[in-house]
Amino acid sequence: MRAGQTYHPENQHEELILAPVRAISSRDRTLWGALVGILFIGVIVYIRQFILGLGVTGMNRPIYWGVYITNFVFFIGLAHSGTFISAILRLAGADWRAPLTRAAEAITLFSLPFGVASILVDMGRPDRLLNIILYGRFQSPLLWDFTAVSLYLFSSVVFFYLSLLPDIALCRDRLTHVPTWQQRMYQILALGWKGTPTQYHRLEKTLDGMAIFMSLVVVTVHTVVSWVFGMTIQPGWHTALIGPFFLLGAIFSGTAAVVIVLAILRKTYKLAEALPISLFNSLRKLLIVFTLSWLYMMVAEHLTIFYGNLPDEMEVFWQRVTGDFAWIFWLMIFLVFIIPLYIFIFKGKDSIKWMVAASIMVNVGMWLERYIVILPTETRPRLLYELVQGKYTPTLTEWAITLSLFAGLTLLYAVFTRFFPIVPLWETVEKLEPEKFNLRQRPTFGRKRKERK
Amino acid sequence: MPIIELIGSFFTSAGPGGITVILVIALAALVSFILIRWILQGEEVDKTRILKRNR
Repeated sequence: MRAGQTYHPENQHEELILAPVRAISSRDRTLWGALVGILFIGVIVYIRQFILGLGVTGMNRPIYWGVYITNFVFFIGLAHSGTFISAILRLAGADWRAPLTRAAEAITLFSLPFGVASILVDMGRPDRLLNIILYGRFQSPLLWDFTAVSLYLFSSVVFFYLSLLPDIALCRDRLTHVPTWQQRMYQILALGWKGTPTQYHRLEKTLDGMAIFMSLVVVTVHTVVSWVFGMTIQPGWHTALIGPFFLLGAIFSGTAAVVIVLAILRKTYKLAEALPISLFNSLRKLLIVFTLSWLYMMVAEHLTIFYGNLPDEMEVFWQRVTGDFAWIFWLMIFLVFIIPLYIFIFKGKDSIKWMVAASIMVNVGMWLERYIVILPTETRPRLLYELVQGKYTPTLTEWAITLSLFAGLTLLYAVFTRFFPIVPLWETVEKLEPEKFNLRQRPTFGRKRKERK
Repeated sequence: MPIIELIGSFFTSAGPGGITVILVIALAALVSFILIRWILQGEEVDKTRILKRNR
């Protein structure tokens, strides 16, 4: 490699992967316009809520957490997909994950801000968020949550950016016909990346190290999110199992979200060669394990409560199983467990359509699961349930804001895929046949170098 | 003040928590900055280093 020259490893799918980045179609603009419209409606509705107060929502005494907090837990859960696929599977040495890492990491990156936004929307006085900084005390699980989520958001941005760096440089060098501002953006973001073997080696080492750190953070984040509930002494929440239960549910819904996103990208951007069906089959096996693990947690949790037969706990238990929330509970069981498990085992192999159908069900079901973890306890709080039996029906305001949050997530994702390659070019390069490489120029990746020694 | 009370007051007083959050994020930012700089410095400067070492 000559001085001043940038090296990019050859990837046989380069043209295919860069194709969506080369031009923005009118269909994209229409989609973005529609999503911005929905987002705008959400902003207007929020301003109205801000002016009139939380009375415009269905929340009332003693129900202080409703759809917004459900969204918060759901978005943070979705955000686990990227770290699970990228960091945990990286450490496990699962090489098949390479083509889908960026798609998964992007879900993490774009859903986290909407998780944080859900909290702000839930606060009647969002300016009071500053109190955490000004008067934060470590007795409060809310501070643990704030610390963990902030650190996770920051680390995810860095992890995502580092793995994107060689591909930004590739866009800078290959996409010369794009508008000047876009070219300038690539130049700035590439940070003068040259693609020398040392740079690649250091990048691999850093990503390996960060993967360990990210795996620790990801476990911490959702456990701490669950402790916001679990550290209270409310029935249905005060259980040691709530941390692992939340974590497993998060990884489950996040992985299912990756299936949906991959299928959309594969079809929309014609990436069938870069995203082969074998990826879906590998995810299918993971999802079978997650479905069964989730059932195990569900049974362990509910059987323990039922056998203990404590009055406060049973009040919440019956609310879920036969009471006001029974239809949501049983629908959730069908959507998260019964139908998806049948599909994953009997229909999902080599069938993207079935996999997507099951994954949509899992995500809808997991949102409902978050809802029925939060609401039955809120309507039947300890001691108060005999005095005040709460009723909660989400209002149009809450649904409009929820819809706009999902529209925002989709918008960020759709825009990102039109400016950056959604399949990592440099990470999938190792899949090429050896004779297609110019071996003198090929970067020696960290793991491979060790093997050779 | 006994040391145990001092440690206890860190967790029970309003304020130290917020400072800790800022410190954690600032530390993460610093480590990230150093890592990114280290990665990008892996250009073809190795030869000059070898030359300097030989001298």
